[in-house]
Formats: sequence, C-alpha cells, structure tokens
Amino acid sequence: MLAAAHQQAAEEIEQAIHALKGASYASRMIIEGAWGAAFHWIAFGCETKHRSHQESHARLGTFLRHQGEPDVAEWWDDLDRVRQGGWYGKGIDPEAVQRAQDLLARIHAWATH
Amino acid sequence: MQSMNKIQAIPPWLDKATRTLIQDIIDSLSLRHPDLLTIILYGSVARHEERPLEVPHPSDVDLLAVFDTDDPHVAIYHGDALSHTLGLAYNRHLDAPRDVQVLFASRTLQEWDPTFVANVKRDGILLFTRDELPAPFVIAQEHSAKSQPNAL
Repeated sequence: MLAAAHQQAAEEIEQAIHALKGASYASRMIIEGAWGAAFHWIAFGCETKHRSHQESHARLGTFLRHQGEPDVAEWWDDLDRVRQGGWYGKGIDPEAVQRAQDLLARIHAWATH
Repeated sequence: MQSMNKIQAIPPWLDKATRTLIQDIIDSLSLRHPDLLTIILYGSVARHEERPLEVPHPSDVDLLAVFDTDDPHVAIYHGDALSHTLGLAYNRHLDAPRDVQVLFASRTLQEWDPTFVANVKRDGILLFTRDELPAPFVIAQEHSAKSQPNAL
C-alpha cells in the first residue's frame, strides 16, 4: 500500500473507534481498532519520514528500532501488550481501552508531525 | 510443572543472540523494578515446539513477568516505565533473530484468563524469582508434588 492508502485506512478506523466510544460491548473492538490504526499510522509515518515501511506487523518493533524510532517502538510494543490482554485477559476494563487510545494518539501525532 | 520448582537456565535450544537478549531483559527488569517477583518462560519455546529460524516467521519467545502487587492494572499504570525498560534492552540486541514478547501480571494473576494461567503453569520454565513463587504457581506446584510424588 502507498502511504496515502495507509493514512486513509488509519483515519477510517479512527472514525469507527470514535463512533463506538461509550458502547459497553465495543471495548474489544476499540482495542483491536486502535492496534490496527496504529499499524497504518506507523506505515504512513515510516514511509514519509524514512521512505521505508513494513506491510506486516511481524517484528515491527525491531523494524522501528532499526529506523531510529525507539519511542514509537515502545508505544507499539505496549499497544500490542494491551491487545494481548484483550485476548488472554479475563475481560476488558475501561483502563485498558483508554490506554489503547492514548497510545494510538501518540503514534498518530508522531506520524503526522 | 517440574521446571517451575527452581530457576532454570535459558533453554539452550535458543540461539545465542536471543538468549543474550532474554538475559538482558531479566537483568534490566529486576534491576530497575524492585517489585518484580518472577519471570517465567512459556509457550512454544518452553515446550521446545518453536518454529525454527529458517522459516519465514520463527516463533516468538514468550515471557510472563509477575510483580509484587495486587493491582490488576499494573501493566497499564506502569506501562511507560516497563516498556521503556524493555525498549532499552531491545535496543542493545537488534541482532536477535527472535522477538521476545513480555506480558506483565500482578501476583494474583486475577486479570488473566484461567486457561492462559493454566497453560503457563503447565509449560512454564522459571527463569527468575526474587523470593517465593506467586501463589497461583505455588498451589500448582504442591498439587504437582502430590500427584507425582516421585517427580521431585
């Protein structure tokens, strides 16, 4: 995908997240969405800043560190942990949903500035 | 469960660079976070069923770091500090061919699904412990000793 396509995908997912906010049944979807949108913002940001990006989430933290983006790598790794908590945890609580959105906001800001 | 009774070496079936990264993670978390209780290796690498490095997507290494708190939100409220500690270790070992994924837990493990906890108990290899094992693992250890009296 081109950078513009990654940007569009990220923005569409963020709009969907916004529409789901407040719905008690949507916690898992919001975290999944935040993870997906973050992936697209990272692809967009890496392409615009470094002329290189990954089309897969596999070893994305390592890729970011190789690009000289250790902060973004930490945010991504943390968001991935929140996501795994959604799969292997007992349930999703509001703190996890908020954390996922906070990390997405950081990654969005990095990608677009 | 026998492997949870005492600290074990990092499995020799892992490559040297990944083992060095794991040791750095253990050292860094235990030094910078005094409330760290235990680190357990679980998953396919612990079972020695990992996908090899030669395939397109080799298995990740899965670690569970347990902290001396009852707060089930430990990974969220301390996420920045813990992620930064891990990040410093990752930055030092960019040559490691396997990703090492670390999940965080309270000592009660109440925030994790019972099936996940049971899998960690079943496959887990204890890599670090500051004191006694967290209660959920101690119970399993006693159960294991009773059900397999000759195992120890």
